[in-house]
Order: sequence, then structure tokens, then C-alpha cells
Amino acid sequence: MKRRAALSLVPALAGLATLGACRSAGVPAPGSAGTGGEDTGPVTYWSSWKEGEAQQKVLADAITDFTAETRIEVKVEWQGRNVTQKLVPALNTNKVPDLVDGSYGKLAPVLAETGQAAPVDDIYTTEVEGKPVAELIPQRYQQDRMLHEGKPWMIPTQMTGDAFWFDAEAHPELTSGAPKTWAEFLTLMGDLKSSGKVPLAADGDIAGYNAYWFVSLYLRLTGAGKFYDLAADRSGALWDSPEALQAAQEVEKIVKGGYLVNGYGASKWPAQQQAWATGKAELLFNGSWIPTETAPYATKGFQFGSFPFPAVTDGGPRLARADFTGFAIPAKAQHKSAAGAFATFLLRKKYQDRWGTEAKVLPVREDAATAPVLQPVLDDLRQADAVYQQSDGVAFPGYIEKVFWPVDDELFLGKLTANEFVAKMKTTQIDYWKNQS
Amino acid sequence: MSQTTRSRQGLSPALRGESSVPRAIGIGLLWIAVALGIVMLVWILVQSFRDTREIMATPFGLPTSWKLDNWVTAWTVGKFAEATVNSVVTAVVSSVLTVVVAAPAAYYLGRVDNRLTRGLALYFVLGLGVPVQVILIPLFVMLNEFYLTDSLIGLNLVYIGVSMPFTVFLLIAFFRSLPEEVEEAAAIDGAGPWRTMLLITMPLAKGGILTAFVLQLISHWNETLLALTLLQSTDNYTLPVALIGFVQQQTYSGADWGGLFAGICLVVLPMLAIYLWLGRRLSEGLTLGMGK
Amino acid sequence: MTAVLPAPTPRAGRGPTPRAGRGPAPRAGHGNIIAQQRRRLLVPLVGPAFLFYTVLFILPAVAAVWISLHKWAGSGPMTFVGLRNYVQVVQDPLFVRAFGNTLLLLIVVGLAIFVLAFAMSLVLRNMRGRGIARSVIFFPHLVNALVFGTLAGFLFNPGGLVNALLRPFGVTEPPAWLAQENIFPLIMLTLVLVNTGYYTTILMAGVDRIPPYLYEDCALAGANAWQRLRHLILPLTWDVFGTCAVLWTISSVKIFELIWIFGGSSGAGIPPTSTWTAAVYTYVTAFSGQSIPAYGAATASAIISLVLVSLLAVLLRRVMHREAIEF
Repeated sequence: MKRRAALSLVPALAGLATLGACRSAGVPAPGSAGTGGEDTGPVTYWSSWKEGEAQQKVLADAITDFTAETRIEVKVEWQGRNVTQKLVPALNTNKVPDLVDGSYGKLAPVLAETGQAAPVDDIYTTEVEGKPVAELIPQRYQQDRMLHEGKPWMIPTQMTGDAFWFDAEAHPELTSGAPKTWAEFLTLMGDLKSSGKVPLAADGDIAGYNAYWFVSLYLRLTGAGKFYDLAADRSGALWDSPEALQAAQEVEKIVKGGYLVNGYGASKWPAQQQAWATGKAELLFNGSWIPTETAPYATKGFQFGSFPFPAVTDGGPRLARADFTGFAIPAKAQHKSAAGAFATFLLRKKYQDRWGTEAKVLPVREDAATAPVLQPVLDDLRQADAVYQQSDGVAFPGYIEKVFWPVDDELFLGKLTANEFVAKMKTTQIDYWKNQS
Repeated sequence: MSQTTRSRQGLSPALRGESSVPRAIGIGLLWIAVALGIVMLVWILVQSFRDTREIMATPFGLPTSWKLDNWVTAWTVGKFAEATVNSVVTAVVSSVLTVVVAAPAAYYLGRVDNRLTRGLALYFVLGLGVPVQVILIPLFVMLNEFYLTDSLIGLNLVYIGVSMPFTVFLLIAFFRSLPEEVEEAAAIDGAGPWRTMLLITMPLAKGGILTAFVLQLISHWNETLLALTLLQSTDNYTLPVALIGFVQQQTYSGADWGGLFAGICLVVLPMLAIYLWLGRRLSEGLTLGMGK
Repeated sequence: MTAVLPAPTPRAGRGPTPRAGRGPAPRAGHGNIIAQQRRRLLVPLVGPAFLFYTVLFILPAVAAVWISLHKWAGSGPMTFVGLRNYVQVVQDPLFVRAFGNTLLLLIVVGLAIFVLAFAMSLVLRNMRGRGIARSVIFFPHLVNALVFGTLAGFLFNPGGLVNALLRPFGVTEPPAWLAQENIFPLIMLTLVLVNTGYYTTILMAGVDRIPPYLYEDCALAGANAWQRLRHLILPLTWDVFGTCAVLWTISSVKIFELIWIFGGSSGAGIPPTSTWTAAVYTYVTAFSGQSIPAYGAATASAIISLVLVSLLAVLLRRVMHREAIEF
């Protein structure tokens, strides 16, 4: 009896030894191809969703299915959007979760830039339903800047884009004849205004939303990646360029034209979003999450229609905003391969479809189904020649929230003219970089 | 009416509230403020029984039916049940321990006067100015070494440590104000210092100690930042953390104002209950302690 | 150092015995026994508190000072930069403005609170139903900041409750309550609301302790209300005032949650920079989530504001310190 017990220890010890070796090597154990291999978890997963959200329901079902199939337990904490805030102190210790999800913009500054994210290039070679992961993630959305030391660190499962949203019931003409150029868009604004309607809604207290306007315009005038260059320029000289001025002037036209809803600069989110959903304004320029977010309080019979941000110059590449949302694995995680297995589990068509149709988000797989309401956004993404992230990947410490957003708010809320805006951005940016060095 | 009765009993004119015009205005304004406060509270309570669309349409309407849906949502979906238990246990335990640890120290530092105690008193008071954000990350790393992160025990310990400056400060002032004669009398009678302290001084200090306890109870109940950072599992959440999560849930999946109000009530009403019960003691104790 | 006032009647040991200055009164001979025995109890009495405080508060604070000398993103590599963070913070116009806001909060809100609290404590004296009134105005202090933030949106939005209430009065163009430039005044107003009750309760203690016969003396001397205020009430409550002033100075610098929640859409966004105080600046530098965190700079900013405010508190104490008047 004792001998058998002692013998049974041997494979256990071997398993432990392998795990130990894997941990120190920092790569998942070989043969973990999608089923977990020697790594039997459990996987500690901190999610940025809260219970009851549409996305969470899909994830919860996936967890049940995953555990049933691989017998790897997934311990999930539905932390909510503060998950990165909880993560940062934990990264200093060994008590990190094995898996974290969130948008690229939230995870990059705390995980990638600090070197705390495990590289997942080997996970990209694993297969999901017959295809390597690398193939399932469309290459066109990936940029070099998104890699850390040349390797990917994120396993994207969803995308977000943006668009101008409207009520298709009230504006069937926009469904068929949306403005394709900025000039047409301005004409539309004018028409809506003169017919007594409020053309645009905006929650002016969310600096991030306000910044969409300038960034979208500037990038369409210069090209993807150029806002990053604009922000990284220590001399601030690029703020004197005609494109920067023009982008600012176009924003100024929107502000001064009186197209924005009354009180947009004096309300708290989501008040204006709610106003738009209840018919008090016609258009809303916001992310692809709008249908999900506003459906519960939209007026009955509201049909979500959308059209992409129009082109500003004739000819030239067509741009679209594309941000990843997905999983990342901290470098100190102890069950990396199991975590990776779960992450790629969500790339199966079943869940991608459910995310697309039930949760109404954009799945990352091109062959996944999507709710019809998101089709225009998807088309825009597919037809774009180049894509950009929300802040064009700018993550310099404190730049966005202390330099760009405050001054951009002044432009969007009508306190600065376009000329004043570019001048102020230039001086503030020069001071910022001087301070940083 | 009671004032004229008292004046008939000989209260001097100087003490009767003179019915001067400024005073009348002051009293009037005060009662308006009080009324507004009560109305606000009642309004939140009433609205928590209504549906979001109703609230947005007619903010002052009364509920059509007193359904408890919103409350159930807050309680279950917002996980307020576990959070309330956690909050109650944490607030009570940490406040009791804070006072138990701080009172003897304050007694000593208040009674014994030499360079060392003056230095120690200053040492404690120094912490009053340090904001919590500063120590958050080092605290987390340290707690993690002892496996005390994501544990209510760890949170309790941190609350005790962080409450030391204010409690010691408050109680030193309080102990200094107690008369020495009674203790000296006990010493003459042959009581040792421990007995003196425990059987004589502490009962005398009941008011101040109770005040300190209630103040810490309130502050621990509402403490958000430390709880947010040091607790990871949703089962360990205290009420403020659950409330933040709940607000997020409601706004990201369609602002459910009714549910939000129910959640607010769940957080505020226990405070109200404790306050109504202990409130007078609190005000009395606070004034006793701070009166020095 | 006592004022010329009638000597106090001996008390039965309840309530505070006023003394000149600080520290215990000089003892008679037999007091030394107990004093000696007490002194031996230093370690058991003060020890636990000292331990808790040092380990859980001072040590992390010292570590924080260490961090402030580095460039660090919260995890990962730490690079030593000496005093660079301090220079950077002091030169950042945002920090200067945030500190200015902190001072504004400290002084303007502080003055408003104390004037109101003082006035209320006078009005509440001998008032019917004072217990209820005092309880109700104290209550906002107990409420979580998140509640105010959530309600603020609901009340002050352009389509919100306050404007709905004003409409029947003919106010068609209500002020933009939540415009960026107006949020800070609104925050200050909320802070006055939340804290006035607290300080009223404390001040009432001071006012209530004034013995009735002193009022009689005043009336006999023919003093009117204003003279009574100046020569009787104020001097006798001055030390309570002083304590409150120091308390407020210290706690106002740390106010963070209300501003964050109020200005930041209940945690969804970041409050506009015009509303930042030093505490918000520290938090955003470390935890904003929008860009790479800068913990070194964040702790440096916290330490700078701590030092500046400590100076203020010490100055205040010095200015307000007077020998306590025995009565």
C-alpha cells in the first residue's frame, strides 16, 4: 500500500517539476494547444464586466462550457471597469490574476508599458477550431505600436469602432443617403437646424468623447499614426501645420454653428446620451457600444441607424477607428497556459456569434455573425484602408488627461477659437516635454 | 411656551432667546434647511420604488405601486447583501479595536508629561495630514507579503492603523480634560495604576470613548479608496465598493435610476438608523471631547 | 494667566476642567506615587497603538517618500531620479492651479463653514427643538460621497430636477449649473452643506459651556448683543475655534472623493482640470488609467502638499493660540 502510494507520488512530482520549470521559463508548457496540457489551472480571471451586462452573460456561459470541456476551473471576479486600478498594486506582488480583460487603451499603460504583460506570441500559434489564432485576428487591425518588444501581449476578442448614430425611424433618409464627405455633413447639420431640430447631442463632461472630434478630423487630414507624431513632437512645431489648424477650425464650425444641444457643456453623463435616445437630439457621435448602452431607456420603437465619420479630403486613404478589447496575461501569472486556453476559447465561433448578436458588440473574427444594427460600423471597418485607435496610441504619462484633454475641452466647449487652440496646445505641449526630460 | 414658563421661574432676561428680528430670521432659515434635508431623504426613498422611465418623465410623481423590484435588484444584482454584512462586521470590529488600542495610549500621553510623551504625541498627530493615496501602493505590497490582501482581516488592520492619528488626537485632548483628583484619591487609597485606569478613569471617559467609537464607525463605513484597492474578490466587497460597482452596472447597461436610488437608500439608511439611535450620544460625546 | 472673572465653583468631576496652557496641572506631593507607577506603563499602554500606527501607516509613508525619488509606473522597473519629480511637479501649472484650488477650498469654504456654524450655534442656543435641528444638519456628514455625486447629476442636469422646479417660476434660461467653470463652486457649496453640521455640533459645545451667570453679568453691565458677542462669547470659545480650524485645515486638504465623484460623472470620467485640488492631482497622476502612471510624481505631489499644509496648520495654531481663559 505504501509503495503504491509512494509510486503515485512520482507522476505528481514530475508534474510539479514541469510546472515549476515552465513557470521559471515563463512560457506555457508545450502541448497546451488549446486544452491546457499539464496546466490544470485554476485560472483566476478578473473581468472588467459586471454581472448582468450582456457581455458578461456570454462569458459566464463560456466559463461553464470551458470547465466542462477541459476540467480547468475558472475563478472569475466580476470587478467592473475599475479592474485595472485593482491590478496595478497587485502587479508588484505574486498574487496576480492569471487573466485580465479590458480595452487596449486601459491595459496597455499598466501592463504592456511596464513590462508586466506576458508575451502571447506562442498562444497566437495555437489553433482554435482548426485555424491558428493569428489568422482569426485580422492583420489589418494590428499595428506595430501595439507590440511590446516585438511580441503581441493581448488576445483580442472584440473590437470597438465609432459612428454617427441616429434614429432610423425618424430619419430613413439617412439610412440610404448618409453624408459621405465632411462638407455634406455640415450641410446636413445646417438642414437639421433650420428645420427646427437639434442636430447633435454630446455629453460635454466626458473629455474622451469630446476629443473624438479633433482626433478624427486631424487623422483624416494627415493619415493614421499622425496624431501620435503630433503629440510626440517636443518642439510642438506640428501644431503650426495647416492640417492641425484646419481640424481645429472644423471642430469650431460644429461648436459655433449652434448644432450642439443646449446645455451640452453643463450636464453629467449620461444625461445627453439619454436625451438623444429619447428623441431630443438627432445625431450622436459615439462608440459602437451605443445600441447596448442606450437601448434600456430609448423610446419605444427607436431603431439604431448609423453612418461612419465622413471623409474630409477628396481621395486619400479611408480611415476608421478600431480598438481592441480582449484578454491579457500578467507576466507573473502562475497558470499562463490555462489562461491562454480560456482566452482562445472565446474565439470559438459560438461565442463570437453570441457576442455579436446578443451583446451587440463587434466580434474580432471576420466570419462571426453580428447584429444588423452594427453592420454599418462593421462595413466601415472592413472597407477602411487604415485604422487608428482612440487616442492614436498616445500614452505618455499624463499627456492625455493633463495636456490634450483640458485644452481640447476648451475648444469643444466654445472657450477657444481654432487659432487660440493650436497656439495653446503648442505651448502646453512644449512645457510638458520640457518637464518630462 | 416653555420659555415663558422658565422665565417665570427666574431665568434672567439675558438668557432667554430674545425675540429679535435677526434671530427670528435665523431660526426660520434653519428650519427651512432642516425641512429641505428631510424632504430630500424622503424623496429618494419614494423614488426608489419607481421605474426609470417614470422617474425621468415625472420626477415628483408618486409610485403607482409599491413594488420592491428595485430593492431586490440592488440587493441581489448589486450584491448588497454580502457587502452589507462585510461592512457591518468591518466597521464595528475595526472601530472597537481602534478605540481599545488608542484609548490607553491617549491616556498615557495625556497624563504623563515629559519630552518623550510630547514627542510621541506629535508623532501620532503627524499622520493626520497624510492622504491615503500616498501610502496605498506600499501598503498593498506590504500586506501581500503577509497574505493579507483581499482579506477583511487585512482591511481591518489597515483601518486601525490609519485611524490612530485622529483617535489618539481626539482622546488625548479628552483625557487631559478629566480631573486628576479622583485618580489621586484612588492612589491614596492604595489602588495600582492599572486598577485606577480601568476602574476609575475609563468609566469617566465613557463619553469621549463613545464619541471616538462612533466617529470611527462612520468613517470606516464610508471608506472607499482602501477597500477598493485592498479587496479583490467580490465576496469581500464592502458597501461603498459594491455601490460603485452598482452605479457602473446601472449606467453602462442603461441608467436605471430606480435601482440606483434603491442602492443609495441601502447605503444611507443604516447610517440613519445608527444615527437616530446613537445620535444624541454622539453629539454629546463630541462636544465633551472637543470642548477642550 | 486667568482673566478677571469669578472663581469657578468646585465641580464633582464631570466635564472638562479648564487649565491654562497644555499639560497636566502641577501636583501635590501624593500625586507623585501615581505618576511614578503610571510612567512604567509606557510600553503596554502606548505600545500597541504605536505598533499599529508605525507599521501600517508610517512605514508605507516612508516607502512613499522613497518612491517619490524614483520614476515608477506602479510596477516594473524603478529608475532613480532624485528630486526631479519634485521639480517637475512644482513647475507643472496644473499642480499650481490645483494647489490654488485647495487653498480656495481651505479658506473660502472654511470661512463659510465657521461663520455659518457659529451663527447656527448661537441661534440653536435655547431654541425649541434644537436636538432635531442639530441632528438633521449633522446628517449629511454621514453620507457617502458617491450619493452626492449621483444625485448631483440628477438634480442639476439641464433637464434635471432643479431646472424643472424653476420653470414654474418663469426661469426659462437657468444657469448652467454643471458647466466646467461652475462645478467647483457647486462642490464648495456641497462641502459647506456636508461639514457645517459637524462643526456646528462642536462649536455648540463651546458656546454651551459658557455659564449662565456670565450672561447675567453682561446684561447687568448693559451690554448689547454685539458687545456680548465680542467680549464674552468669542473669547471664551476661542480655543474650540482653534481646534476646529486646525482640524478643518488638515481634513480639507485630503478631500478627494466628493470632487472625484461630483466632477467625474460618478466615476465614469475624470473631473475637469478646473476643479482639481492637490488630492485629485495626486490621484490622477497615479491612477488615471488613461496613460502610463507616474507614481514617483504622484507621491512627490502628495508630499509637497502635505508639507505646505503642515506649515499652514502650524501658523494657524500659532496665530490662534491664546492662553485659555479659566472660568
